Amino acid sequence: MTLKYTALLSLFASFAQAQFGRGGGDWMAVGGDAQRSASVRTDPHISVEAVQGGAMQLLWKIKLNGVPTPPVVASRLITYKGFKDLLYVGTSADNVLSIDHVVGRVFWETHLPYDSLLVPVKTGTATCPAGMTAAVSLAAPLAPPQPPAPRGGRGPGGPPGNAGPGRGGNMNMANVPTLPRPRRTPGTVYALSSDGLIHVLNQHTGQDIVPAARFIRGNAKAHDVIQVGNIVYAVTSDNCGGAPNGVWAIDLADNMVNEWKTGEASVLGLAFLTDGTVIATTTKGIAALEAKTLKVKQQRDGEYATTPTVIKVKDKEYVVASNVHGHVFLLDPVSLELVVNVAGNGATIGSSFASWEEAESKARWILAVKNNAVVSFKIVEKDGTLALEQAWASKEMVAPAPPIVVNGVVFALSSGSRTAPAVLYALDGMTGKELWSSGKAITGYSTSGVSSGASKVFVGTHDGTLYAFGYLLPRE
Amino acid sequence: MRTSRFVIAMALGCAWSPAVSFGADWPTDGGNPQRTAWQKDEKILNKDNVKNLKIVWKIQLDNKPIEMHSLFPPLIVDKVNTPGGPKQIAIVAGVSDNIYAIDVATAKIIWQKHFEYPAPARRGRPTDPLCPAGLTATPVIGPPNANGSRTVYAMAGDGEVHSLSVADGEDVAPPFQFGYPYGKSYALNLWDGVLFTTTAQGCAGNPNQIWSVKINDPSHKVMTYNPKSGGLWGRTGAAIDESGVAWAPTGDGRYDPATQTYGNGLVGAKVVGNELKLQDYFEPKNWAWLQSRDLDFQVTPAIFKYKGKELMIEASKECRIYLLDTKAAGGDDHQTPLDRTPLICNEEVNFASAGIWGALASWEDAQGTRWILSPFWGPSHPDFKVPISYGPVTHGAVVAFKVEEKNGKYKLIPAWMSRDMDQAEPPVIANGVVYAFGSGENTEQAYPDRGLDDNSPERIHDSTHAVFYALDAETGKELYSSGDQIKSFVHFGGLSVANGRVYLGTYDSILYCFGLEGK
Repeated sequence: MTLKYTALLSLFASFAQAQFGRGGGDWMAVGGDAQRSASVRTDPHISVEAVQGGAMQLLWKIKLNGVPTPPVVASRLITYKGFKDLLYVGTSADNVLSIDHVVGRVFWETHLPYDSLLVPVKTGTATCPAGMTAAVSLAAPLAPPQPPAPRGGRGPGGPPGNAGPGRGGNMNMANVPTLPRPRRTPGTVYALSSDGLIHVLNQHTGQDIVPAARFIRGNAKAHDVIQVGNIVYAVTSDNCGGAPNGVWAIDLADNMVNEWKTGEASVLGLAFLTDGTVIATTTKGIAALEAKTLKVKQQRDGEYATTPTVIKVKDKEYVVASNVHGHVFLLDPVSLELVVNVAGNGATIGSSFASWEEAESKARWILAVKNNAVVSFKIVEKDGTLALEQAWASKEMVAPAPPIVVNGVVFALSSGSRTAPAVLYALDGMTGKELWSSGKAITGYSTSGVSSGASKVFVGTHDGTLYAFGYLLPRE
Repeated sequence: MRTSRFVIAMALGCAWSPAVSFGADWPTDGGNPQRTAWQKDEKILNKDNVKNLKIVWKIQLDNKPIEMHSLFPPLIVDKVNTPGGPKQIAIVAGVSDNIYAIDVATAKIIWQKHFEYPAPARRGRPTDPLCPAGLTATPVIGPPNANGSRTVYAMAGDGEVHSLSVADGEDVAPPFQFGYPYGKSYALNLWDGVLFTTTAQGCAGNPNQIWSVKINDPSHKVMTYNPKSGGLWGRTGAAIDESGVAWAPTGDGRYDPATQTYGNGLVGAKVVGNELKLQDYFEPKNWAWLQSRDLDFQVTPAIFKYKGKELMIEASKECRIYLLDTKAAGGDDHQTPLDRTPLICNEEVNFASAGIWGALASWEDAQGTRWILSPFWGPSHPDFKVPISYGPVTHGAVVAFKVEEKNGKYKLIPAWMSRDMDQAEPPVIANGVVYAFGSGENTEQAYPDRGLDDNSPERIHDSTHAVFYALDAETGKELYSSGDQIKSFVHFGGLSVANGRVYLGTYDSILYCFGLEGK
């Protein structure tokens, strides 16, 4: 029964400092979205107050066949087996799994067969791990989805001549979170297998919707896979498997592949402006590329060290990136010229940023790993110019992974080592104060970082275990 | 309105003697206002002779099915003084705005009505099984008046209630507006002169709520209570307790008492003066889980007396049964039932083809043991343990529990689970025999390649046929099966039992009457 939902959508509820309304807190790709903001703007159950109140707990852990890549998350799917809230995770063994992230149960699992006619299987090395290296992706919009507008009634209430509350009468403001609209048709999961084929999988079944298409050379070290505007993008680095370093794009309409090769420079990552322009960083520079064709619109030299992140300050976009000397840059997205340059004093910034906006003040924050701690910068305006002010730094961690932010709560992962298991921390995004930690719940070290969605945070470890922390929905 | 349509009656031609009249009625969907589905007055059929059940007659009616719907459960009235003499009459409503009065003894139509009205401005989407454009509420028959005459109240698809003489089908009062045109009202119930219905699915813009009207109110003021929830789609509408409170399940929605929002629960409303007002409610503690997985509370409760207390059972697609006190449903916090069963089915957590749907049943045996019965769809839950069962259940079954009380603590004790049935529908009980059926209906609403695509043509095509069963009420043992004698499936139909006959209408608008030869 579905029509009933029309009466249940739509409410913005004010719940402590949390905001509600975003479509389920989906996590579409590495970095969460096309901007690589690594943040979930709103969440009904995770907030500073809720985490302080004990909202975070280990929900489940599942042993997978292979080392997991960061999961992507889609919720409220109407599948042939019922309403499901699913995450999708790839593993190094070319498996893609769908897991009901509420109950921690595998929904489907599919193995992407290696086409050895294309390129022989290679054994991995530390630099070139072989196997499936890129996280799977969902379709990512160029602009973050806006909270839904309140929906009015669909008709008069009561029979002719009788007054009564109509469906509009069902609308009210309340303290109880509402659910996002369920998705009636299967979406797709984009998975780049180690033989270089791009698979377009049915979200409900894991089956190829169309034959897998040749995308990049097999055994490449591919990452940052993302589908934007019916084009799947990926980047390659370290010339692994003989695959040239570069940015790659395949148009799903005709399987035409375009590339921007970067020679010896490894590509670090890419992010998107809202006009579709692709911003890519390499070990030797930064470039703005045309969507689909990947023709260079602008480029600048520089020894970059991070994936770019696209942010908005007062409705204007900027690119955030860092170089090998630890400088943090705010760049104009068109000219790629410096707007802000914060000296790093030689301390290397981790591989990517996170960015979030305060709900009330609209202040923009930038987060990164520096000196084995998570550091935060606040963007301020002084005399008409922007500046980055370092705000707080967390305690030191063991090989911290790039942080993420969920509704004002920063999640930082001490990735650990062979002798120190990973620990997930929740920090107050405004102060850096530790709100919660996973303690000894994680028993291995992590190589795959953190992702989020639907009031949960996911951590994968080297031994093939995927952990889910977050809000426990009472099921009994 | 017109009063005659072409009807093909197919009496079987066997040497059946006329049905012997014992005076039992089935005046409303679910048998009584409490919706226990228990025929207390059955004298003919028993567990020893139901193995000899036959199709006494079947009749092809000219009702046109609409979006899977066809015939609603027959209402039975005995000893009706008709122009042709006293008769036992079955009143059958058809979705295309038809009412048929059938002489049970001869399988002949005594009278029929077809309600006509201008096409409402709004209607359900074609092929949508949720919103058929027509009559959707099983009628109800009132008590005898001073002259012994009975009136059947039937709501046409335009929402008008027609008051018809059971004897001849003539209007005994002008029609009045009660429901919403094409608004998908559920089975009518009647209590102390007040007519009740519920609505769901927001069909044609209709709000989801409980509706009531005093039959004898000259203005026929419609009184409603809206729980701000999903649809109130208990198959047999609201059940009425001894205080006149109408209890109805609320479909998927939020629970927020601060705003009087009662989704995924059970609400009880009563006519007070000229208003229908909330009296009490129950909300399961896991309502948010139920909402997130579309596991609505959508089963009409059954209300019964046990050790001097009035109790109520309720269920949902989650597939567990709640035992509640009608005087304090859910206790002080409205969320604490007297007892709650473990999950009986739906391990998959599916919203479409699993869980408990429709209505429940309850009866008391000669030893004073109170039994409750529930149908369910899909496989039984692997963790559900029951003392007596009859092989794997993969498509559905009927399950029975006993109610027990010790030191003020109430428990639902599993007793038996029936054989596998293809989408088991709400059972009825009479004289120690449980009558049940697998509808044979395809209940899928979503598909691997398309996701949600609930459409009538595909479901009709993929449906098979109903199978009617008689079970020993104390053990669940199969005593009779109709096998493949029924040729079509059932959607929103149901069983009725009275005076040695059991009735079931199917999608192809055939009404089947099961009974014993010579009885």
